[in-house]
Amino acid sequence: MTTACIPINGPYQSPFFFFLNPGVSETAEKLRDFLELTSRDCSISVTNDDSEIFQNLEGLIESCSSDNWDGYDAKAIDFDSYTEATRFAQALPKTIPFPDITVEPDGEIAFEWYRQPRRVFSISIGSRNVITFAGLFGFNKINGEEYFGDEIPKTVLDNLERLYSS
Amino acid sequence: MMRFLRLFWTTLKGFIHHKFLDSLVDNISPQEDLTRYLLSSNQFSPSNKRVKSSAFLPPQNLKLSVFRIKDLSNVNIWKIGTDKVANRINPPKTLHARADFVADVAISKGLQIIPDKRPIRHANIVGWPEEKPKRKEIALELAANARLKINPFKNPVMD
Repeated sequence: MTTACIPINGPYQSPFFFFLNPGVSETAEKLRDFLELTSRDCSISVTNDDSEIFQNLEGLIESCSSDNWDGYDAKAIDFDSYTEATRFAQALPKTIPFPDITVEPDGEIAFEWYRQPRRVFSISIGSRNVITFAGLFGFNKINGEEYFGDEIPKTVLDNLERLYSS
Repeated sequence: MMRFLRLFWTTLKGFIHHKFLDSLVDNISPQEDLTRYLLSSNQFSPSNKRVKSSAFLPPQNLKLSVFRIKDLSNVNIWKIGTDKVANRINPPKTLHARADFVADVAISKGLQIIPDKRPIRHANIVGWPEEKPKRKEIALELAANARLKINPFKNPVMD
């Protein structure tokens, strides 16, 4: 077993540091590469500032507050979903890259993290504490549902880690 | 006499144009080009030049509205979107962009594309799974394979 020590404020500080079992790894080298990569990714696009997310959410309220906002019979934004999306945004670790936020035809709010056409992860937040998610990771695909209780489900965080780790 | 000829020519031109637009066979081949007109600016990202998956999620009736654009000029594709989609909604909407894709992307996911010609060149993508997570995954696939085109002739209606 190899142990790696990572300085929290050092050059390898990663947004996914908290995901890792600190100091336990097959090789410290692998861990270092991973941390370097995520750190590099996030230095460009990470501006996960609550105020920006909330501004985007407010913008969606304005543009999607009535039925048929997309011209194809979409439902107006679901205000319970909005409340849950706000709670989700607050619970989102500050180091996670800023997602695209959108409304879906059923009125649910979606957060979408995009790196490449086939490296994308999307979640929809329903009104009843249910998160629906789907992702493309190269040739691999995933979809499912998770209960959104007091914190962001581990599956969601794991998939975000997967998205940004390679 | 001149007035009659002008009227005759206009009618004839309209007839020929309509016939040309409607000249497609009923079956959609997997290689056929389709487009989804985007009337909401939150369905695409101009900075990433990409379509968001929400643009490909069907509404409650599980029919995703698309148009067949085979053999059409770019101008005519936008014209159909403006005349037959954006301006037909009450109140009319801005046609912001469109997402072009090949029929095979939908067909290979087990979906069917049913032309209904209402309006001309219109078709619905049907056969969506009942479960939303599966629909989301398909929408991601469609978005990943779509090409975003921003409308250069934006109609003046603001939404």
